Amino acid sequence: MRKSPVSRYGFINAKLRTKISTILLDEFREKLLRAASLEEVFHYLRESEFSPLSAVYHKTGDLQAVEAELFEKQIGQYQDVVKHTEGEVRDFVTAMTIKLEIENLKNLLRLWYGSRIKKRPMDHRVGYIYKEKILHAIPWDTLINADSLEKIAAALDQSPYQALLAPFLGTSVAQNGIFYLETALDRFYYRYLKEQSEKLPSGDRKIVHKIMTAEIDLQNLSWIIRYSRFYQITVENLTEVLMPGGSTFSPEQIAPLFAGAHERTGSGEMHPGISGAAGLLAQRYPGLQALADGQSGGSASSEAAYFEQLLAQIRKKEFVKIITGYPFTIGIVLVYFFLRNRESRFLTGVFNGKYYGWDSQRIREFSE
Amino acid sequence: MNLFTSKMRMLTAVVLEEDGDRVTRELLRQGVLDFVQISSLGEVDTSIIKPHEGEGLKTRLTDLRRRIEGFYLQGELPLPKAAELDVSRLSRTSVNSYEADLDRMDEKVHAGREKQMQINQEILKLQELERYLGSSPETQGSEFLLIFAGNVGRGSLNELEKRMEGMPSFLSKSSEGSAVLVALKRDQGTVSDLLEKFQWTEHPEAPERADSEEVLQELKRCIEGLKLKQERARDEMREELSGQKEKLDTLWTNLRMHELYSTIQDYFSHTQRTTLFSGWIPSDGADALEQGIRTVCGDRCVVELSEAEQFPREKVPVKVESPTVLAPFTMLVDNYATPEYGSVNPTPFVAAAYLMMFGLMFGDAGQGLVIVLIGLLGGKGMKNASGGVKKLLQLFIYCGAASVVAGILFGSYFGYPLFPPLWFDYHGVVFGHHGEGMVQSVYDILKITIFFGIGVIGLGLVLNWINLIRKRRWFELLLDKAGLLGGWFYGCGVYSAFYFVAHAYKSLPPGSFLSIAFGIPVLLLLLKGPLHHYLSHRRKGAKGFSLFNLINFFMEWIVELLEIFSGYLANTLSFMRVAGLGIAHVSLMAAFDSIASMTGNGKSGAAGIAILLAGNILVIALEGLSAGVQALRLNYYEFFSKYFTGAGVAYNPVSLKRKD
Repeated sequence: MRKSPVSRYGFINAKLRTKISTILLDEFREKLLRAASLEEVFHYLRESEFSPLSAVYHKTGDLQAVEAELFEKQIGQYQDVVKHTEGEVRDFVTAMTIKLEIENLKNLLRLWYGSRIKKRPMDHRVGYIYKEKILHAIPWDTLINADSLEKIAAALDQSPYQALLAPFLGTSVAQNGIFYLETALDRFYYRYLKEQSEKLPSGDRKIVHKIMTAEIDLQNLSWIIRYSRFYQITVENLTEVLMPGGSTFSPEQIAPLFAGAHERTGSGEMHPGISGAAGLLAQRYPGLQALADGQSGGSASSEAAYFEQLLAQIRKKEFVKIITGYPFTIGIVLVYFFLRNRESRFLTGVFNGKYYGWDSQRIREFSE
Repeated sequence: MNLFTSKMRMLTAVVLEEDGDRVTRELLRQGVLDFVQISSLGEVDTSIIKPHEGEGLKTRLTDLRRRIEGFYLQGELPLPKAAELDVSRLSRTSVNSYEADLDRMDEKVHAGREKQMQINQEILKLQELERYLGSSPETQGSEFLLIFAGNVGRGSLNELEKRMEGMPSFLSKSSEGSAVLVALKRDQGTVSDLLEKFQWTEHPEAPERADSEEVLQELKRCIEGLKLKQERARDEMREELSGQKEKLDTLWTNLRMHELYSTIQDYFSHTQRTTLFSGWIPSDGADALEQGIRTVCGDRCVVELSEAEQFPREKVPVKVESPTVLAPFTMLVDNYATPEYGSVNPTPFVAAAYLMMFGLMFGDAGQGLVIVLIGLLGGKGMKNASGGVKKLLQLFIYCGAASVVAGILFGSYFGYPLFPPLWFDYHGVVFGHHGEGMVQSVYDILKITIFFGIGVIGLGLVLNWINLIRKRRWFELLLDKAGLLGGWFYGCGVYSAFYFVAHAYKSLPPGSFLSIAFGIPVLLLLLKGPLHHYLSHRRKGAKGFSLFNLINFFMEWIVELLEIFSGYLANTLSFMRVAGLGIAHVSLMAAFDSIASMTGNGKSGAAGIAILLAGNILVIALEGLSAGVQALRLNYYEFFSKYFTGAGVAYNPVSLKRKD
C-alpha cells in the first residue's frame, strides 16, 4: 500500500525547511557582493556553514581547490537527502543526483580531451576531479588515464553512460570534439529524471513536470542563443542539441528562425531568430510577452543572461508557490535543490568575480 | 541613569567658509552631533544655498579603507582601536599615493597567494602519483605509472627534474648518483623524449629499487615537505603584512578620519561665503559644542539651539542612557526597537522583570552558581570577544545570581534541599508534601505567577500612562485600550476573576458592580470612534457621519472589545508559563534523582553520580536556555506591548567611535 503524503514527506519536509533556513540570506549575499576583496569574502564565510571553503583558501590560495571543495559539499547535500527518503521519492532524488555525476564526468572528459587529443598537459588539474563514488561505480582514475574513447567506454561498464558513448565510438573524436557527447549526457539526465518521475504519485508528477519543463526550456533557450552564434542551425543538429521534455521548442520550429545566425559577427543587433524564439516562449509563459517584441541587442552571453534571468524569475515564482502551498509534496525537495544549486552558483560567481576584480553588479549578473 | 530618554536639542550653525575645516575637526573631535540635512528642515532656496559636493571622494576613501581592512584580515592583524584616532593628527591625504602604496602591498600579497597556489598544484601532481603507487593490486593504480631506475648519461638529474616539472613526476635520487623516476603512462611520449635527450640508462637492479616501499615513503616525505613550504609561504605573507602594520595603521587611521571628516562635510550646505549645518545633540553636551564651535571660529559664527519640542517627535533621535551594569538589558531592548523620544527608558524595568522571571523559572542555588561561573570564566577566557558576546556573558552572571537567590528562597541546591527554604519548599509543593504557609500546592505556585503577571502588566499600563501624559496625548490616555479605560477594564476584570474563584466558581460580583465595572467603559469605548472622527475632522469642517462611518465605528468597537477581553486574559495567563517551567525544572531534577537511585549502588555509586552529573548539565543547558527565552518572550510580548511603541530613531552622531 502506498504511503500517505504526510508520512512520505513529513520528515523530509521538516528537515529541508530547517536546512532552507540555513541557506545564505540575501543580506549575507549582499555583504559578499560588496566585499572589497576575496579575503573579505572568505572572512565572512568563516561565520557560515561554508567555513571549510575559507579554510581551503587560506591553506592553498587556490580557487579551483575551493570550487572542488564546494562541489564535494554539493554532493554531500544531495546524498543527505537521498539518505532521508524512501521508495519512489528516493529513486527520484537519486536520479537528480545523477546531474552531479554527469557534471563530474563532463569535466573529466574535457580534461581528457584536452590532454589526449589537443595535447595540452593535464598537470595538476586531475587533482580537482572528484574521485569518490557519487552513484555508480566509476573508476575515475582509469578514465583519466585511458588512451582512447573506447577504453573510457569500457571502464564505464558499471554505469548507464557506457551505452551513451556507444554511438561515438569509431568516430573521430579529434574531428568532432566532445560537444555532442556532452549534450548526449545532458539529454540522458532529463530523460532519466522523467522516467523516475513517472513512478511518483500524480500530484508530485505534475509538480515535477512543471518545474522540469521550465528548466529544460531555459536550458534549450540558452543553448540555442549560444549555439546560433557559432554553428549553422539545422533540424538535424538541433535534434542532437535540444533537451527532451521542454514545452516550447521543437527543432522543426526553431531551425528556420535561425537561418544564417552564425554569420553575424560583432553586430550589436539581436538576431531575429531570438525574437522569434522569445515569441514562442511567450506563448507558453505569458509573463514573457515583452520578449516577443524584441529587447536590446548585445553579445550572445548578455542575450542568454537576459533570457535566463527572465525564465529563472518564472521558475522562482513557481518555487515560491510550492513553498507557501501544501507542504507534503516533492516540491520541497525541488525547492531545496534549486536554492542549494543557486547558492553554489552564486558563491562560484563571487569567488571568480572578486578574483578578476569585477564590480558587484557584474558579479550579480553572472551569478544570480 | 535617566528614567526617560535623554533630552535633545537641535543645533544650527552658520560659519564662514574659511572656518569650515576647523569647525569640521571640532565637530569630529567632540563627536556628539547627529547631523540632519538643512534641506530636510524646510524649504530651502537652492539659488542661495547649495549642498556640499564631495560624494565621489568619500566613496574612494571608503573603498581604500576597506582595501586596507582586507590586508588586516590576511595578516590576521587587529584593526586600530577608535581610541587611536586623534583628530589633531589628521594629515593631508593623497588618495593616489595611498592607492600606489596599497597596489604595491597587493602585489606582494598576491605573489604570496600565487606561491601558495603553485605549491598546492605541485602537491596535487604528487598526490596523484602517490595514489597510484600506494594502491592495492586490485585497484591497479600502478598500471598507470612509468617507473625507471637508472642514471642520466648527459646533463644532470637536477636538470632532468627541472624539465619534467610540467607533468606529474617524481625523481628519487640515491646517494650513489642513480635515481628512480616515477611518471605517468599518459605522458609517455614526453617522458621518452626527455630520457632519450638525457641518455638515460637503466640499472640491472632497477625493478627491485622501483618496487620498494622506499620510493613511496620518499614521495610522501616530499609531499609533507611541500605542505610545510605552503604553510611557510602563508606565514611569510602574514609576516610581510605584520611588518607593514605601522604603515597600515597610519593609512587606516588617516583614511578613517578623512572618511568621517567627509561624512560631516556631506551634511554641510553652502552659500557663497558661509557654511551651514544642523544636527541633534543631547542637551547636556550642547553648551560645550557651541563653545567649541565659537572658539575655533574666533566667535565669527551664528549658533542657534532649539528645543526638541518644536519638532515632530518622530524626527527627534533618541538617546537612552543606562548604567554600564545594565548593558545586557540595554542590548535586549535595542534588539527589540528604539523607544519613542521623551518616553520611559525601559531598561531598568526590563532588568528587574527579566531577572525575577528567570529566577522563578530556574530557582536553584547550585545550578545558578554554575551559570554565574560560566559567565565569569567565559568573560576571562574570551577577552577578545565581541561586545555582544561579552554582554551575553554578563547576562549569564545576572541570571545565575537570580537563580541563586530564588534557589535560597525555595531551598533548592542541585535539586536537593540542603538548607531549609526561606520562602517555600518548591520540590515539596510539586510532589504534594503539603507544608505550612501560603504556598501548599501547585495551584498556589500558579497563583503566584498570575499575581506576578498582573503586576508586570499593571506596571506596563502605568508606564504607558506616564508616556502618554509626557506626550500630551490625552485622547489615547483616556480611551485607548492600554490607557485609563483599558486599565479600568483590566482592574475590574482581575477583581471579578478573583471574586469568582473565591466564591468557588459559583458567583460573579453583584450586578451593580458589573454594570459600573464593564457597562460604563463599554459604552465609553463605543464613543471612542465617533469622538476621534469628530476631533480629527473638526478643523477640516467635515459634516456629520456617513452610514459607512457608523458601520465602521461599530465594527471597530466590537473588535476592540474582543481584543481587550481576550488580549488581557491571554497576556495574564501567559505568565503561567513561569510556573510551568519552574515545575518542569523540579520534575526533571526529581526524575534524574530517581534514575540515579535505580543504579547498582544507588546515588552514591559511580553510575548514579554520572547520571546526576549528566542530569544537572542537561537541565542547566536546556532549562537555562528555555527560561532565558521565555523571560525574553514575556518581556517582549506581554510587557512591551503595553507601553513600548518602538517608534524612535536611535541617536547616531558622527564620531570617531562610529562603526559603520
